[in-house]
Amino acid sequence: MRILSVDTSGRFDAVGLIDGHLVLEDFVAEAEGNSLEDIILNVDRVLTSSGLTIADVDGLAVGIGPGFWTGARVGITVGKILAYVTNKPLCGISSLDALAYQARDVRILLCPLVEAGRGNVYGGLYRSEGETVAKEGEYSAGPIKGLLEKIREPVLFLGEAMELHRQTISEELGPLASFRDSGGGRRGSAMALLALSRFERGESDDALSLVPLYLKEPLAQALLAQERKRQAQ
Amino acid sequence: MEKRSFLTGSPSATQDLGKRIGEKLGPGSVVALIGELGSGKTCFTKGLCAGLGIPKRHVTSPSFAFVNEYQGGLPVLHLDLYRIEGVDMALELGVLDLLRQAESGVAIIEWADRISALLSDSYLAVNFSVLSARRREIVLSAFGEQFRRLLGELDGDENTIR
Repeated sequence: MRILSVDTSGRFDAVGLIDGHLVLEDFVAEAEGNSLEDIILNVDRVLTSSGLTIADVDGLAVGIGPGFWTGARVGITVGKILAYVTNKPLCGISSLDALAYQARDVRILLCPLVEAGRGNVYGGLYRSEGETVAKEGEYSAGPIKGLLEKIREPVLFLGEAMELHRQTISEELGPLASFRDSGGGRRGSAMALLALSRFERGESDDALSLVPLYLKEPLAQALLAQERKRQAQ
Repeated sequence: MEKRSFLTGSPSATQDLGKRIGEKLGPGSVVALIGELGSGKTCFTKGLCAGLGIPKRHVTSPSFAFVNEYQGGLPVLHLDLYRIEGVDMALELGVLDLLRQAESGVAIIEWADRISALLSDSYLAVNFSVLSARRREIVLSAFGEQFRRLLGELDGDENTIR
């Protein structure tokens, strides 16, 4: 099964292409300025360099965030359009799930982090389980310190927001914290592989109703709490 | 926080004040405009944009479009949040994304008091009060060092309050 993935919800735009468990392409480019306009060009580039066309793809994966809201919406829209025109199934994949999945070979607690703006992060806690990862508890959105309070064991931090908070993490967790050099961060193939396992279980998302993973309520609460603190100063 | 207050006697004087400030704005500037309908926010914005090298006729109120983009010496995002009712709604519209996009240019935000929770610690707040049909009091408040410096560099015969 060939799966094409598109993720524009983060600091890097990613397009991935797999054929079964074989990774054919992993395109990553820093998201800047109007780079969202290149999304179709990037898809085309990835297909062309594998000698394929969109008609050769059997399923689509799309990054639903959490992350940048506009980017997630554009990416999802493109995913939906491609799913409609090719009449192929679509799977929405969380950016945090995909980041954790990229470290599925690591046997300690995994904590992917994605920027949420104004110093806040989106995060989740995962453990590797066989060939994949399982999430523990819910996704969170808020100050990094709130997330760190939940951690009392060795943990590997992942994702592009990790660098922004490295100092705070080290101060709070000391030797418990380790960091995986993100080296460009997310890989589209991770999203495609996660979608593959869902497709193999007979699952997919409804292309009409699929929406980004916003985590709006916790983020709004965190921003309002920050504002109250600022006003009190 | 440092404040300076200016009195303007006509829309063109309000625009001139905007222009003098616009000329001093660098990359990453955020200007938060606060005041009732008709208090001079869009007029002031035309001035800011003129100072940034954007022709006045390109600058219109984005009350319905929500955001306009202009290209001057720097890219400028002009937001109008009149219809935004709270942080939830602003997040949904992608205001944080727009502010991030504007980090390499200038963001001018009308009705910024509706999203103060989304602003960083560095911005210039501009409060408009209507004194009469033509007269306005315009109070500039600097948050962060970049804008404290800018206020210090502004000259003029205004009243200065601290």
